[in-house]
Amino acid sequence: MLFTEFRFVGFFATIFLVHWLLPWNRARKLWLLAASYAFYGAWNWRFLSLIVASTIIDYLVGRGLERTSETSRRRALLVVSLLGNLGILGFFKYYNFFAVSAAEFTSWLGLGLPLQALEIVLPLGISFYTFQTLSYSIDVYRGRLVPTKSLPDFALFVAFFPQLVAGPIVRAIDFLPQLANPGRLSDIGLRVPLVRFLLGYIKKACIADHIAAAIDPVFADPAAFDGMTLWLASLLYSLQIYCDFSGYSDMAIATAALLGYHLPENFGFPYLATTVQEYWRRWHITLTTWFRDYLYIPMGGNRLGPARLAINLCTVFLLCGLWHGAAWTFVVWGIYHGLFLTIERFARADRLPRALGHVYVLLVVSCGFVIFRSTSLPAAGIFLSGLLPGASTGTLTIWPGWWGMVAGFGFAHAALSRWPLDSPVARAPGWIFAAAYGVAVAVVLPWAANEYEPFIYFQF
Amino acid sequence: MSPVSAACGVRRTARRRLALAGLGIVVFLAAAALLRSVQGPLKAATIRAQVEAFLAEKDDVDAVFIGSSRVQRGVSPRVVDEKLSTPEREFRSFNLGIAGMRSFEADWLVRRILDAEPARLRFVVIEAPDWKPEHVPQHDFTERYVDWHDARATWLVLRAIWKFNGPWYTKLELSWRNLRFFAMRSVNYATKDRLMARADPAWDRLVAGRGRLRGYQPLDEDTPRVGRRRRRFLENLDWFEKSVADIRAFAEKGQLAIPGAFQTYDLASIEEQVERVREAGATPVYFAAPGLARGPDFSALQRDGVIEHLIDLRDPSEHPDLFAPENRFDREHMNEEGARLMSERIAAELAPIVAGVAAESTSSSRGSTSEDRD
Repeated sequence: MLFTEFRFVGFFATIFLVHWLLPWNRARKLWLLAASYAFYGAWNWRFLSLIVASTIIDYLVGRGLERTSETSRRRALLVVSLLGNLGILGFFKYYNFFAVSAAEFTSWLGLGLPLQALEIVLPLGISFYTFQTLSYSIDVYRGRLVPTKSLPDFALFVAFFPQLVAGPIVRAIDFLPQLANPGRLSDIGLRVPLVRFLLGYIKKACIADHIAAAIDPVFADPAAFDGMTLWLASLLYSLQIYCDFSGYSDMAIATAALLGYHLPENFGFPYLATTVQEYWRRWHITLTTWFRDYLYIPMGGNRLGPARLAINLCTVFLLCGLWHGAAWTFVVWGIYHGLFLTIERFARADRLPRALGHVYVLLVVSCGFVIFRSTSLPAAGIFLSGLLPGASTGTLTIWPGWWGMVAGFGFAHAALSRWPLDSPVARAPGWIFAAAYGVAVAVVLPWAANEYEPFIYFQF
Repeated sequence: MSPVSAACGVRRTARRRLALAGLGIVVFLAAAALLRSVQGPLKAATIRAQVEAFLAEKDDVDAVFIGSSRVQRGVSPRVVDEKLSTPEREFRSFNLGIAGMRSFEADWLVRRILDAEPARLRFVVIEAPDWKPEHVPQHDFTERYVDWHDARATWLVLRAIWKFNGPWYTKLELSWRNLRFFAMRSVNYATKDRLMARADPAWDRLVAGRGRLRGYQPLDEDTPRVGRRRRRFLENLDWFEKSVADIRAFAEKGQLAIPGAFQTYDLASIEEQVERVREAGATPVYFAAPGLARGPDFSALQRDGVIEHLIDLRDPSEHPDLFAPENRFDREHMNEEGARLMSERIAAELAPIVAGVAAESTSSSRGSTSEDRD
């Protein structure tokens, strides 16, 4: 089930009403847990078993860690959690990639390992909930978090439907305390989440899905399109993936807020960044902070000299790329960003004039997304070489009006960061807000794309 | 604050929020209705052009043919008009057959045409409907399928779903599906193209193209597009001829109709359709196309007086030329020559009905003239 689907309206209205009509917090939590499993099961109920398995492993690990202070036993328990979670993730997401790559490599060496690809369905959102459960075990192991005694609470933390399939990646340290201190409907401001949900819907259904239809042919056959169109398509894809993913995050955060829960911000106007480093502080924030806290800093971060810094950055971003998908395009995309981050540490990109900084980031990010979006590295090479002046021999174009969409988006992006809507929305008289919201929804719905496009980040 | 005043405050907040939610919903529905009223025609070229072409000449049309592609590809208004025109009065018909159109959509189209109040319309010829509320996967979420789900059509479908014999979960699933289409239509979901359709320069050309043959689309004209069907038909001619032989055998035994089939369909909808056409001053005529499958017993409906006029071309013994492979484009559709033959047959069957209606109106106009004199 997608947030943009019609049936989600009925689903959420039921969840919302029953949730707030239930008088006990315990009952509400169980209701939300059941709803979350139903939400996930609507896609494929068989894969619920994986979420349940992951939940039980980390719940038991947490309980075990609480009972023992012996370092070796604690370490063993953490290894159980890591192997359990990463084992499931590794099999479902990476087995085919590594098996096929290993088979090709050994065949090139003349050894020929008999490894074959299996028909594996990637469970929805597995990368997201695996990282959530891992962060719980690691935080408990490090003594930063008191493990919960309640299995339903922990299960709800793992499966809470607004963020289950595409984030934001929530930390137990932020979420579990909210389960113990329930809010009241009368204390919750409904307007800001309602507006945020609508904005997320516009980003996803009215912008991202339309862009997808326009640029899919360009990425399918980049050699057939002229150079300007390739530039336009690369910018539009940067826009599409932002609107798709941040739109989903907006809807997730708004949905959770309407149920009385706070989810962390996932985006902070990334295309206003003037360095790649700043871009990564604004893009998919919950993932980058996860990698920072659980991988980059434990690896030594920037404390062990320039060489280790470069290695650490490239390693972390290689894994970040792999997290996004099991393909060489994602690996190269990750290393590409790691290299730019390393260069920036030494070349001080923050000294660039502001306007130039924006152009630089947009260029780096858009070219990076060409690698990310392409079906293979050779296809990415054809696309990127076509961006060079006079290099493309293709003649096809797409509607030039899309340049207007890029400009309009840039303006809206900057305007919303400078003048957030929250304050005027909260201050407006109730009847004006209600009427304006009614008109806004009526105007937005006709602009939805005709068919439901899955969220890009669902595949991760 | 005391617990009592706190509780009062919560109740006040809840009441206020409910009132605002109500206001928001009312404004939303009003705005959606307003947007709907300024929308252009359907994007789906077939139905959009066909209907608009009809509306352009609605006041000059005596008869419309409504049905699936079997009507669209099989009835030539020019042939029908030649046969039914007299030196005193030109007869003019229009083909509103549309590919894939089933009973509920056809009924919606009948209503839409009658609502346009065509001045001269006297006959509405409708391909015999089964009113079976089935799920057609390839139609799902298409603009056209959503578009006919107005309140009336949705109600008819829901009523038929719950009359239809089937497991409760199928009924529930079908009901939910149709309610979703109704909701999507009501809120103008994904209809941006229609908001801008009038500005489409190709639009007038498309309508003019459809108007040229008054809705009829000979299959021979677009052979490349449907070439695969044609090739399949030619490759399986033996199968076609065997199917015709089977149907002929059923017809000879008087078993062309599936016994009791109408018990599982929605008779009330047929009765309401007949009534609606009559109220608009036209005569409903039902038409059963020459097909290869047995179907509901339309003759029984005629015997029972539910429908008055039926043009039944389903018997291969009576209409062998309509089942001859050389007159077929594929197993379901006529080629241009087949369409000419079928149109002549329809005109021949329509002639006495037209004459009867003309006589009736002459006598009633004479009666009213003498009453005027009195």
